[in-house]
Amino acid sequence: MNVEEMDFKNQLFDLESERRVISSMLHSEDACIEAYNSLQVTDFYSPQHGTVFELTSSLYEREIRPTYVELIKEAHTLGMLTNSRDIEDLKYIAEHYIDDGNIKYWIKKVRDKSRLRKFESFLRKSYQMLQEDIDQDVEQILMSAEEELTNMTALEIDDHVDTPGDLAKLGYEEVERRFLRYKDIKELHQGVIPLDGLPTGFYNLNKVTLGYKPGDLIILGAQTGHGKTSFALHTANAVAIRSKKNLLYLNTEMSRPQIALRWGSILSGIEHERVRSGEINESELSRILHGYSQLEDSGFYSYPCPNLTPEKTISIARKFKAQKQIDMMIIDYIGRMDKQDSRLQEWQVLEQIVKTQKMLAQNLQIVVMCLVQLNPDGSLQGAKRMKNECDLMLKLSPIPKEELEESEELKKFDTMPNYAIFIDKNRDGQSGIRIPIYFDLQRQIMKDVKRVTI
Amino acid sequence: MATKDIRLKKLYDSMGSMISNLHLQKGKLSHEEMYCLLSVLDYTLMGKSDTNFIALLREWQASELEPEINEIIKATLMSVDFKKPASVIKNMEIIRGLIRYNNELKDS
Repeated sequence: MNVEEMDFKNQLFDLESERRVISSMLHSEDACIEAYNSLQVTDFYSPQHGTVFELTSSLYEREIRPTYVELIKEAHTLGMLTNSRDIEDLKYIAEHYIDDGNIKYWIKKVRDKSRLRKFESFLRKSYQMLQEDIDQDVEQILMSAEEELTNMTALEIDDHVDTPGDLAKLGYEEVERRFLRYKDIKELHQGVIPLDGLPTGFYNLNKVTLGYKPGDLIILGAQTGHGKTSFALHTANAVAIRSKKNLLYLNTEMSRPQIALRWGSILSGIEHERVRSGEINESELSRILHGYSQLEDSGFYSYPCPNLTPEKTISIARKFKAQKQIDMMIIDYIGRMDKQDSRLQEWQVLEQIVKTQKMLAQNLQIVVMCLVQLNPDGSLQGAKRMKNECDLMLKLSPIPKEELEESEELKKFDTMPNYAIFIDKNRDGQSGIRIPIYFDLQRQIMKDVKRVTI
Repeated sequence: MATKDIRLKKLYDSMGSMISNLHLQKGKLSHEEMYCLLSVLDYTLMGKSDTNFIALLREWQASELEPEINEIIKATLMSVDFKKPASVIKNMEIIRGLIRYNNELKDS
């Protein structure tokens, strides 16, 4: 290899950036989440760096904070550290400190070099192909080169373009799946529709939506004191406790003891006020204990976070997706999130948050439910924009007193409903529907109501 | 990045390397001793410990202990599961008790 070629080769990697990324992963959890989600082993030029990245990522996936010490232990256990030279190499990498806030800059440098290497390999391959077989169909050569190049430039790793064949195949599979499911409904489930996604906790809402599906963004609006948190915990009960799916609950308002006490009441069916004050007898105490044992076995992960920002939700969601394989995240509630830019109007901030959450749901293939506050007149600030972004928009409100007294319709249920869920938007099905429910305020429990007379 | 921050990171990394080298290169630490010291380092410098733990280690080092008691304290420290706060608290109590017992022996 001549000097020029050597110089060119040196442009294709940046070992310093690779070391800085790994060093930052070892010293900051946020940096670790960012790098884990943005890079792959193959993005590292140095095989040694790739191995250290792989070890660090594997620790992180097992919920072990990948510190330098943990890395040494892991490498030692795997027999990868045999002499002091290995330790010196590791130390050299670890000592490439950066300001953790700059991690994205260093990740980009590593990725860019990785893409450049892929491009170089593409050029080499193409040149070699031309040399070997000059009589090939030129059109074919250029087309296949163009396709490869487009994949390298325009498309990210996760992007996927459907060919007509792909789409037809997908369509057929979807219809076939639904056909078989319909048969199942008739034969096995005796008319009860199985869900496509996670249970909503309400029979009628399940029926209309077929469950919350991965990639869905759900917005639930309610006025202050009208049961936003109760709805969130009711959903969590259906998903994480009864269905044992993993769910992350981000709360911006309540403390850890407040959330824990709410569960005591919900799972035991004892009035919240009495649980809070401790005014209970021994048999009720044992009922509460039983309730908490259900919580213990569930997939409910709680993260009280008073200073939540959209950026923070991304990193927390990524972390829990990698480590706990969550299927759903609930944000209670987005009006309390910190503004990143104080010049923005309230509705602009909400719009930004909702857009971020939709992308997050799609990228991680989880359900994201955002709780928002309705204005006193029942409207929602920035509602139109939010509605555009979300897949399902629900509004929760008490049924007005006059309606409760006068409506004959409401008297046809086994329990007199006092609340209603209004389906304002439903991308996959019917909307404009009002589902009456019963909300036991004292026990913080929401229930379906069954129509008993026609 | 703040200088103090870098100094702390450097101290942590150098200590980690030194402990590993004492096992790998010089054979002065057993495998278990290396693991224990690395865990203590992580526990004390990565913001996981309270000051009581460090104070106790200092107290242990400053005490003139009977060789047997010293060995028991070392064995106790090596049995700590630093991932479990309850294990740390329980073993800290044992170590504290052993130092107290040693002092009483000296006084009597």
